[in-house]
Amino acid sequence: MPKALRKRREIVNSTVQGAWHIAGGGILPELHHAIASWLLTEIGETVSMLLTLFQNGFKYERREDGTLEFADVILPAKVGKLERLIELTHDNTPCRRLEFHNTYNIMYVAWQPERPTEAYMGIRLYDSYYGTRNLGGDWINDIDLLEMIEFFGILKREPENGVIRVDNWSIEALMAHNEKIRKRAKLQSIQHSANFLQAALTTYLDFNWKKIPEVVRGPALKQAAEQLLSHVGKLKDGENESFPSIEERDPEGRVLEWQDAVRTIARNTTGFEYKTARENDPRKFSNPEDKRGARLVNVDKDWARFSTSPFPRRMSLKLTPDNSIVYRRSNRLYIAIPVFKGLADNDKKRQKLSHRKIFWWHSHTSEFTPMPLWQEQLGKKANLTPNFDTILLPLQYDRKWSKEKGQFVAGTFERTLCNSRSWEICLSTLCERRARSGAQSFAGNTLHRFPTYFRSDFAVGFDMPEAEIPKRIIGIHFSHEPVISWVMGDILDGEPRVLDQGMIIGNEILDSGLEAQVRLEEEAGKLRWTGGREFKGVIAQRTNDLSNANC
Amino acid sequence: MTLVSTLLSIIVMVVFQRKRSMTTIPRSAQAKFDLACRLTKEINAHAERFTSNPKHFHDRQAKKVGLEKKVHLRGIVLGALLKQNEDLYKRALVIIKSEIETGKEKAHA
Repeated sequence: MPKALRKRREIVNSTVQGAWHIAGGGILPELHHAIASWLLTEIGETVSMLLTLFQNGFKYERREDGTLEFADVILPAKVGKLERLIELTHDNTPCRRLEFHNTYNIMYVAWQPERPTEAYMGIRLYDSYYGTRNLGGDWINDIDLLEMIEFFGILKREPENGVIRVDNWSIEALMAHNEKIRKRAKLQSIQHSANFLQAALTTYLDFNWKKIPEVVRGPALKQAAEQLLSHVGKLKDGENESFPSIEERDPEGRVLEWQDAVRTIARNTTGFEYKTARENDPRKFSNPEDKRGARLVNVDKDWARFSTSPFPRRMSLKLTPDNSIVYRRSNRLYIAIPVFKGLADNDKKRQKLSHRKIFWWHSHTSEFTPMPLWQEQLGKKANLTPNFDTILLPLQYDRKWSKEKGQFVAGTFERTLCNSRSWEICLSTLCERRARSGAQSFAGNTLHRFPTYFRSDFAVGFDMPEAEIPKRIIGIHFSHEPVISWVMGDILDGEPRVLDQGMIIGNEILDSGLEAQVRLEEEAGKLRWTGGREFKGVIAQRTNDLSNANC
Repeated sequence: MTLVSTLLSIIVMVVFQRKRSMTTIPRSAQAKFDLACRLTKEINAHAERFTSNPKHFHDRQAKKVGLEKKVHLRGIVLGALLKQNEDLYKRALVIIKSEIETGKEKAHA
């Protein structure tokens, strides 16, 4: 096949949204709403629990110059699975899937053969060093195990062919790497990927998953891993040293916690502690001329508890394609999610929520056909079979009136999910949104029975032709001052060279427009609402000025 | 002459108003005790309102009703009262505790 016609897989950030149709009277919509709400509470609480676990075992150190030297996390581990990790890290196949290229991952597992229930794993999340580090040969001597061993608090450094045994404890270091030798004088840094962390935690972490449904476990681990690595990234950049939020995610629990804070405030008999904003956050108010740094800020812990919202921030739940299959039944689309999978039969939540009415679809399975995207991707697995783990929820109508055909036709959402030739489903995200007060109702007022509604956002990918690099390239950079700068270059004998370059300064009208844009960006950066009438008018005015100027 | 007297009266009014608006801690122990009790009642009213209606809460609302200021002022007043009269201070603490419990009972009812 000619190179120009060859196709490659491209992940595109395209999303189609399908709102859950939880409307009408009776017990069924109530149960659907309760299940969706419970799923989001579960993911929030699980991530919160995992982050608490991470926080207890998190350690980092900085050098004298302020740069981050390393960041580790020690967690309780399951023993007896070493073989799998070795396979995971040294075998090429899983490495390729988990994108381990251009990095190496270090992980330690410590255990006592006499007490198999007590084991720990240490993961080096970030490692930085100056100069050369040879990872190809006797790597156990190159990696400084000392901090890690000291962190365990039970071991001493006695390397012996990669295994260290002290006082009946064993520690094994496992790593995977592709780059054998790194020779650079400047600071090198290595950071784990969220995928590796998720895989390692799934294999090793000793965590009580019994009361958590399977659809939540993977996404919770991934989100917790991402938040931890994001924290490490911020530490590296010196931005923010506070650990990711582990606040209460259960709405009922959060309200109770907040009410307790209100009572504590009402009981206060000593007053509050105040500090200047500069003392409280020296980095933010480093400029001594900034007057805002001199104002007094209440730093009392109880007041901080009281000041946070009584309503928890809801997390979204990312579901893999096999956990969120869309079916068609007549003109309506349904989403199937195995919400009770992984829970015991006598689990309290299962008993409370799995009402017989939820499984109304058991006697209609032949009427459901999977949408082509899932059929193509999952094959026979996409077929619906009766079970007591899965719920089927209707999605809102996605039909538009066609004047030409004189009937309702499929909308964007449905058409995208039918398009199996070039599109592929990647992930679906379940999120909760506040119901709009003036939203159009399809089922009378019953649509607004609940204060919130749920929506599934389907991320889809598609194939596109491989991009060929042209002989000459022009690069254009848009900024505020100058407005446009550009450079044209080509590659001669493998070396890039610049042929021509220039810039466009702009004019007064453009400047004023860009100033307004900067102001808008600043406002949006402060999380202020920028979609109001005032800003709309400003934008319209600038656009008119620009179009009338013929520039 | 009229102008001068008008100006003087305006200055007096402004100073008087300003002095009235400023929150000062009374000198006598009994007045401090009374102020602490008054503040307690107001604080508890706000707390009850927030507890029973978390939907309408946000930080600015708490600032608007002056909850932070009132709690802090009560702390200062009680600190000063402790130095001046320990018995009254203890009585004030008992009242604060009982007010909270009454509020709790009301909420439960």
